[in-house]
Amino acid sequence: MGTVGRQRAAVAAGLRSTLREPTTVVLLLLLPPVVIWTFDVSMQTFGATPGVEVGAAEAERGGALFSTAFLAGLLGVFQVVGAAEADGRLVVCGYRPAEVVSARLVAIGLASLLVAGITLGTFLALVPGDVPAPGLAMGALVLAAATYALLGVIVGSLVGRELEGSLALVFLADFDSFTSLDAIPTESPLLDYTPLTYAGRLLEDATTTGSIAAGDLLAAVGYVALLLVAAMAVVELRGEIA
Amino acid sequence: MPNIDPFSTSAGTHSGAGGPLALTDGGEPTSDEAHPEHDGTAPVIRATGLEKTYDSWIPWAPTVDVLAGAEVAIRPGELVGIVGENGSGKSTLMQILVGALAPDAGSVERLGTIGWCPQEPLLYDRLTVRETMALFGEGYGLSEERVEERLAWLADRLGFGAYLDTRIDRLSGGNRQKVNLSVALLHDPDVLLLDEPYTGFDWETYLAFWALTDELAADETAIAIISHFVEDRDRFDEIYELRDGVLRADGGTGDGTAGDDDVESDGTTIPGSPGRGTAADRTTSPGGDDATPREGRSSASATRGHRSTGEVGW
Repeated sequence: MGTVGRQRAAVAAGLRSTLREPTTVVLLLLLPPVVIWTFDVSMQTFGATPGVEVGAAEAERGGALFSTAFLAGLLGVFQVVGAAEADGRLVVCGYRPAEVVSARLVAIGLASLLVAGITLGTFLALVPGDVPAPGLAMGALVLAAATYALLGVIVGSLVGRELEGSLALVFLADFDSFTSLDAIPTESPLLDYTPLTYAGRLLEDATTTGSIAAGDLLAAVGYVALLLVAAMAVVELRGEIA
Repeated sequence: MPNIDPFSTSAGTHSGAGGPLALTDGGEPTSDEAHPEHDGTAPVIRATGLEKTYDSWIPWAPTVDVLAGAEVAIRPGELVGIVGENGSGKSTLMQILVGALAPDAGSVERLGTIGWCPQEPLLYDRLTVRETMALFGEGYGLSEERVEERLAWLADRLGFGAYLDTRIDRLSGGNRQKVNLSVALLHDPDVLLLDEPYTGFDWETYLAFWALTDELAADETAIAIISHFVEDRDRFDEIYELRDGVLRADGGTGDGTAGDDDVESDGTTIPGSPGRGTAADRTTSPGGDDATPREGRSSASATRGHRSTGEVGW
């Protein structure tokens, strides 16, 4: 009963809604290997372009980032758009808005964890040679998933439509994962602030040197924290769960 | 009469209305003594000066003025109908009454727990009926036992007992609507706000619904129903028409023609359609589980129940 009971019930409902659809589960399991493989193939072609250097390991890393980011982003969009009105009814029926929003975020977070895990498993199976720090690589992918899940919440709340929100997220994740590979020789400062910049650096370090830079970790965590605040604010401003 | 902490929603605020603040653990209402203003005849929900305009941050989206000073008050045991043309703002009004939507101006005072049945079932598609009730029961502050007890009773009355472990998205439209209505009734609220609650019901369920509302009203539950059906109009104690953003008490005379027969949406009539007494008349249950509606009605309510023949789409 009370806050704990409501929170538990809301999180359980969110997880059931996410994972109870067999099609969703199958896609979550199948898409990471497919995406990493297709990203790898496309990068092999693109890597032949003069001035562009993309090795096999970089291509698979980019595929892992893209797979994690767009799947988590879509989960965020669909969770927010699909459940917004029912969440609003929960609030009318006695749930506090913060309980509903946090339950939604917890459900998205757990689903993102699943996405990151599946992606890492695929990545470890495909990448040539050993990965020196798979635990750190998992952490990097979780941060990437959290970043895009929250972006999905923000985009979903602003756009309010699943199709448009999904298109925006997929485009952004594609661009972001590609630029995070540093494959194109550019000095644009904007690329230092794209969502996957720091998670991408963490993944690169974890899969090459086996150690990560504290500054990158702080920046990636800070990025997630910032997006968390922004997501809560946007949901509140939209007034669908308030 | 159960009584609760007063809630209110004013312009600029956005407050839910059916929550645990209104109930003790286990769903038992708090005592009347705490709220001497709730004497059983005062409105349990009162809206004054409601204004609402739909605007958007998208520049090309249209701005729609919906409510322009709407006012309504509903007392315990009163059954109020709210009618109006499509797009007149009935559902917006109900969302504001329940606290799901904030008005631009005006206020809503609520002196009891609210049960809200929205026009579209706002449910989680992938949860079963039982899980849905458990989820909303937590919000109402009901114990698991109480939820099961109420669910069993509602399933029996509305006839969806065979589907308690079926997912919402696998229910027919009518059964989904029964669950939608049952969520509103789960905590036995003081005020019921129902937005076209019988959409998709079969005739048996439709009659069972009205028998249930009669019982609830006799038990002092205040009920407001948005209705389009002309033949429903003689069931209400009072009918308001929402027109030009304002609620007007509607005598039901319309163009002045009225008859004792109900009018179907295709213009055909149903002779001797079951009616409903006034709140004062409803001192007894219409017959427990017997879904047969009462025949006839008091003269007082009959004057409210006149319909204009040929008027459809209310």
